[in-house]
Amino acid sequence: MVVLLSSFMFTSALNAAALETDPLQPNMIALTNEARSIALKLQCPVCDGQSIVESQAAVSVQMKQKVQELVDQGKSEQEILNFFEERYGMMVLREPPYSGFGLGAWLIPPIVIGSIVIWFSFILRRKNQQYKDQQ
Amino acid sequence: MISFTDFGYIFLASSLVIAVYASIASLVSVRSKNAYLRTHALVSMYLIALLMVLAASVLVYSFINQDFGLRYVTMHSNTSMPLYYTIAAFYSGQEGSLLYWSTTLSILTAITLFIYRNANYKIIGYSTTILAVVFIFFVYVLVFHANPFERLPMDMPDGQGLNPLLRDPGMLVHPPLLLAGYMSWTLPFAFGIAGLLSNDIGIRWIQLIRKPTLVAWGLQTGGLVLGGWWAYHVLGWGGYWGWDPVENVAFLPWLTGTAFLHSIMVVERRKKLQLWSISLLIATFSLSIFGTFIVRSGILSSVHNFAESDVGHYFLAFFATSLAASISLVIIKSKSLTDVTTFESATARESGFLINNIIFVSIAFATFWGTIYPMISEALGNQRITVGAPFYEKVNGPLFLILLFLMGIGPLLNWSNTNRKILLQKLQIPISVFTICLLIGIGFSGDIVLSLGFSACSFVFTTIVYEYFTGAKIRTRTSSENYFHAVSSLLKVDRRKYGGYLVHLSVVILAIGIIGSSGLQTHKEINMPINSTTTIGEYTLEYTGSATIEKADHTILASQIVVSRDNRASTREMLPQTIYYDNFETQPTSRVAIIPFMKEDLYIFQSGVDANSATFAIFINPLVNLVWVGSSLMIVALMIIFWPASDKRKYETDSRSS
Repeated sequence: MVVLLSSFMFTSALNAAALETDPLQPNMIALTNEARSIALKLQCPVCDGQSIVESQAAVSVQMKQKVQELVDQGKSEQEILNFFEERYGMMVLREPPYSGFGLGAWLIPPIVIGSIVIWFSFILRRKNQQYKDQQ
Repeated sequence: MISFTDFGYIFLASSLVIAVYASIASLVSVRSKNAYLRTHALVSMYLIALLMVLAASVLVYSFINQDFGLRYVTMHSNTSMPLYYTIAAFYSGQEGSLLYWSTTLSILTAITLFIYRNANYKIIGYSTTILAVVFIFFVYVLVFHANPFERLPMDMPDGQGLNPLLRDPGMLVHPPLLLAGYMSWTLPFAFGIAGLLSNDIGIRWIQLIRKPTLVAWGLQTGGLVLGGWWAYHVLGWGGYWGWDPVENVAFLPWLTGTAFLHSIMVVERRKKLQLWSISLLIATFSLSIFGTFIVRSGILSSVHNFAESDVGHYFLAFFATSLAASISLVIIKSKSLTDVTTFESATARESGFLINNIIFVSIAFATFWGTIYPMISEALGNQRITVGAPFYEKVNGPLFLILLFLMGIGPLLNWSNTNRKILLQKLQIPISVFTICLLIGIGFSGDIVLSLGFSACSFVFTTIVYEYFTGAKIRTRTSSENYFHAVSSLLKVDRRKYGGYLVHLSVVILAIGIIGSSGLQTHKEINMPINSTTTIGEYTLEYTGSATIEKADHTILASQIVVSRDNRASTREMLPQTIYYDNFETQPTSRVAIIPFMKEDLYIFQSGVDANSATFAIFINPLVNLVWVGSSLMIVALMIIFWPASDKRKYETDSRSS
């Protein structure tokens, strides 16, 4: 039986300042779909492995508010991502940037796999040759 | 004075001593062909299993009995927890999960060695040693560094209780299966190393190793899927797989293990890829140890951080040592792993398997690399780069798509060589189905990637149906069976092949579920004042209010949402919740409200509630139930493959055993 609330757990009004100190402040932000897709690309700086969307931490909630604000101002996704990178460093981007150390993430897999494939075809060709020579 | 729980420690220590004896005895028994010693070693392994079950029972009993003098029990349970969580708390922490791993390892070892006790004495002898050595490592950590039976200076009045995130039905099934999955790769690994040591990687070895590999594969698959299901109804972001580091490392042995299952088919039929196969097997076992190292060391930031501890470096050492030893062994024995035949044709089935393997290994490497890259970038450049879901989607997505196509073409290829004309003929219908689906998909959605995904599934589905159809047709001609009968006898006669196709069919269903629930998902976040309504898809949702419900050890904050569908009179109620456990007030957990309609899930996550309104994240996940259906079907198919045939397995006995 669901009883309607008569006394409320969270009587303190949603106060931006209160967000910073009280980890139990409810997260009342509703992101637009566009803001949410951008927020999914931002890592929560204080949690373990979550984006700011999943995280209930105070700083994540603040960051979400900021994302919505910037989206409402008409900023592009890249501008918003840059904004957060400036403030929190590269670790806040869930997708490694295509420059500097980020390149290492993107380039190594194809290089390694490509090398394996090339090495494989080399060995196979040599074996085929040996096999044919034996015939 | 010895207390009851000290017996648990005594059982552990005894197992350690006996395992040391068994490993030496088994090794000596092979070298000296001493049957008496061999039996001794085997019986020792059975005895170890018994001792471990007793040790585990002592711990479980302590939990049920609420012995808060035991540190581990006090940390992970309390008097207000229901019984099932109390028992589950046994494997919820470091020491207990290690005890669970060691116990299941000893049991699986005993069962496997008993079943194959009359197989080639060298392989069984060496395997016993390897298994004993791995077991020694785990029990060593338990006995000296992670003792579950450590007592507190005095008994506590109550315990702390299970981490709130773990108080979910998922806790009852996911960890046992996933830990068992990790653990069970040890069995085929032991047989693999034993085969290398006895210079016997032939047909018999393959027949020996296949079932333990399938067992491990099934357990790991189950563990992964249940983890996804758990994440789905608790984490609230609408999905079930987030490419979290801990998810990734559990996925790695599954990937190389699946590649191994395919490559040994090439070894069996065409006697090539032996070196490659054994390397995959070693990689799989090593990755299982690597995975548990990553989870327990806390070295990567993950939602699984509650598993962190200080025994990580022992696992790192064991990982490095076992990997180095295995690689050395392979290098030494590489001369004897010569291929008998070669890859003559690009359209031969073995070439298809090779490409399959390369793709699996590529996905594994990309996932591995992305998972450890944050560590590497920090070590090398002082910059901790985050590698999140977007990376894996972009890199692995295309690879999985190619794999899907391959799954369709592979069965149509013949061993050694495929007649191109016949192949094209066989491909006519599947390619037509594919093209039609692609055109329909692009026409309806405009999304090329989405359409490609679904079309690939239709392609594979068609080829599987084709294989069953042609197989059944031949049977109806040569026997008196009707089609339906013919299909079931196909499964009886060539269990591996047609059972394998059934697994592929399950994968297709799983893939359709994944593509639908991610590609066709609709969602919205909305702040709803009390008594307001909103619509999404064909559903109208009315938020009527929230309430707090006090329970024995937790408080539930629930919101009521009344759901109605277009054109229907009846309504349903959804109750998304946030739960606050006593002792853990700053770590609320969520219970997502889900209605699983046939074609889609309606999914509501409660973000926050205040005096006048509540914020929800609402999702429609089309076809997501096919993810669970496909996974379950995979396990069913696995059991069909396992069903004993009427003929006595020849490889379980070996006339050469001395």
